[in-house]
Amino acid sequence: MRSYLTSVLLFVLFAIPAYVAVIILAGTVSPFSQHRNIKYARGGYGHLYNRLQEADTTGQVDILFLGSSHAYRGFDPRIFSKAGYTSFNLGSSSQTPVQTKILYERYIDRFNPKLIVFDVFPTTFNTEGVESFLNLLSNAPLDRHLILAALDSRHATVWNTAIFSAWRILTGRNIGFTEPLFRDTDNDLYVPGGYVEKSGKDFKPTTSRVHFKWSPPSNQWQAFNHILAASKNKGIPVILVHTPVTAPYQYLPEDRMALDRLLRPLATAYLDLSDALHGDEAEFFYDGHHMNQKGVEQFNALFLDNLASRGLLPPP
Amino acid sequence: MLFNSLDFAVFLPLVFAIFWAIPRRRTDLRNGLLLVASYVFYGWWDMRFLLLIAFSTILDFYLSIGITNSTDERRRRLLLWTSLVVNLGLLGFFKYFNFFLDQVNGAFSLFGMPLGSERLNIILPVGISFYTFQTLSYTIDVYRGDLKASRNPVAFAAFVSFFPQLVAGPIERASNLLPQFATPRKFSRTDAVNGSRQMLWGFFKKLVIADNCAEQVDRIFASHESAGASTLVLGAVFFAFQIYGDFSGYSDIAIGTARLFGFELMQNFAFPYFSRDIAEFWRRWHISLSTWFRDYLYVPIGGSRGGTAMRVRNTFIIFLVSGFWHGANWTFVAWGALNALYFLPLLLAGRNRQNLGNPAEGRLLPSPREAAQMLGTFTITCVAWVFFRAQDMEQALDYLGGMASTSLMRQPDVGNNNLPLLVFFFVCLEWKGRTSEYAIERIGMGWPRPVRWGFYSMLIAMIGLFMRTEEAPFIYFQF
Repeated sequence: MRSYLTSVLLFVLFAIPAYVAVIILAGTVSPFSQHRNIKYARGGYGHLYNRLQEADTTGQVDILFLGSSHAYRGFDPRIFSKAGYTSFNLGSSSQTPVQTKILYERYIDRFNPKLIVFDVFPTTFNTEGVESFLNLLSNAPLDRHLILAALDSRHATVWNTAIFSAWRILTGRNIGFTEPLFRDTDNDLYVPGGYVEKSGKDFKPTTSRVHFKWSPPSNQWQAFNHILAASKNKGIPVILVHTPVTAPYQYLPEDRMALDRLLRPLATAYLDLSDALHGDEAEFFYDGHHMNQKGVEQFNALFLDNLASRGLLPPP
Repeated sequence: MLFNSLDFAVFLPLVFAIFWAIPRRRTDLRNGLLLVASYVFYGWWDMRFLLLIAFSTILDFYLSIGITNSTDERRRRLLLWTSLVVNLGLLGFFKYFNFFLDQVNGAFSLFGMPLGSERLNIILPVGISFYTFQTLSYTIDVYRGDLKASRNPVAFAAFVSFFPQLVAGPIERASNLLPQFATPRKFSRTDAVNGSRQMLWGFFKKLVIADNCAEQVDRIFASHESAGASTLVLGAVFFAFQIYGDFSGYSDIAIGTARLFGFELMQNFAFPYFSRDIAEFWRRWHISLSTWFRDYLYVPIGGSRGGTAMRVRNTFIIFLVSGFWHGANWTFVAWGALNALYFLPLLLAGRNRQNLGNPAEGRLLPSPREAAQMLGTFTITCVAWVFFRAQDMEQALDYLGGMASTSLMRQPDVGNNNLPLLVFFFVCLEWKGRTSEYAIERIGMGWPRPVRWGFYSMLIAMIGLFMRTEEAPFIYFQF
């Protein structure tokens, strides 16, 4: 038995570096589309690389935006600047509370905001956050929070991408990388402050209705509550916001009320503005649940008025 | 509990450690542990399933003792029939009730008298076909006098529910497995290493070959009406590898896991796609089920004895029953019937036992004749697999019709460019190891240890690179 266990242990010690070597080799010599479980995309969709580069050199701000693409495509710092507020947008594509927590831990002391606006799109709460992990692993520095969270994901693609990302960082392969501010493939323009502007319109809304489902994995709920508790400890008010969506993405009244009952007691306020731009959706959206620039301008003005009327805006 | 789950990755080392920590002489304690572990493993799906397996176990335990104790042939036969009726009755109810109800409803509707009977909401207990056949063989063997009834309820219950092979076989004979529960298991490093290696190969087959094939098979079968002939052919070929990788992969993991505990299970697959005729295929495919049907159905109804009509009848019976065992759908019956049609010419010509050895014995490559024979056998097998995979007869016939269309020479829609390469790599390893019990049993035995371990590490890395990240259940669980 001892001989067998020793062999198993030695094999494990042999297999781990061998596994790492194969992952690095596979990621290096063939395109990523060729293997399903490494997804490394530095400078990929959503300008996360540009955003974090800027975040690393930005100081204190009045308002910090957190959340998914609805955050970084929904709150334009230029509009808030005109209203007298400095702001930064830390959203990223399909970001779930687990990844929000990683970014929060890394940047909260640097930004030291007077107010946090947290986009709550229920769908992101219900996922494992794999897509967002891959985005972070490709574009963010590997720190302790990210590595531990990636390990905890129990997902082969996340682990493999983490290995490949670590190798690229350790061997200096990312040095000198720059991401263009405009991606013509997506018509996305990176705007300082973490925002991404999209000017597309003439979106044709569908009629199929999206059904509400609230079943977040426990780790997402824990991460969400951790952010809220940490902010409370720091004395930073948190506004939870459901940003505008088109009518088919609108939940039924009873589901909206249920979400309201769930979220309202957790933060300073919960604002369900999901129907704020109903009526002319082709004008304000570029897909079923993302606003174009015109929609963002309309929504941000409305959002600022809403906060002001409730006395939730910090002094500029 | 799935083999390919994190739950099992914790469960197995835990049970392994406790099992071998129990002193060797305490076979009773070890059997008790295996029994508890097996019930935990099975109850992981649904605790209600435990009632059913416990009922079957208790019933067959006492009926078999009754059979052994009795000298009255009528009583012995009554006890045997009780076991057969109850076990097959349970299997029939859970697996076939709704199917028969649908047929009866359909038949009455044809005559304008719809019964309107509603289907029952029946959950099919995982692996019921497997453990039912295992306990049936035990009772029949006891009745025949080939085996004495077990007097040890814990050992018997552990035999019925032994977790490595409980839900998808191999369907063990009591004469092979039950005595192993009665004798002290001695740890063997060779067996444990061999078992670990076989598990690795089983996981590779399941996670890399079967699950990746499944993705393309699902896509092609779902859109078969618009797919070209070459794509449909590819879908059938991928399904052949999916079902082989899935099922034989499970068997390898099961046999390997049993070896870790010092148990030897029977070989269930012997490189069936290298068969040179369909009779050889059936000696190499799902061996534990084929031999079960041979010993408990084919031989008792006359086997190959008697006239031509008798042999034709018996062949059809065994293949049709085998098809129906797989599921309550006419597609499985058609799959069985087609295989009977493939098999009959060989049987009637007395050529069904002409390929008993390994293909290309002692050579690296097959002769042109052998290659043609293997290709032919594989082709007709793939045609039959279309029935096995299809949702219903209509889809199967549509699919086969599509395969025969003029677009056969066009480039197929592979979907995943890696897959043909992975399958090719897999076939090469299978060919290389075709004389072993499983492909990588002896591959690399003469290599220096770092090279051999490098090979195993590469297989693990391929699993990590190509596995589907959501848990995919094994196909044969539904049977």
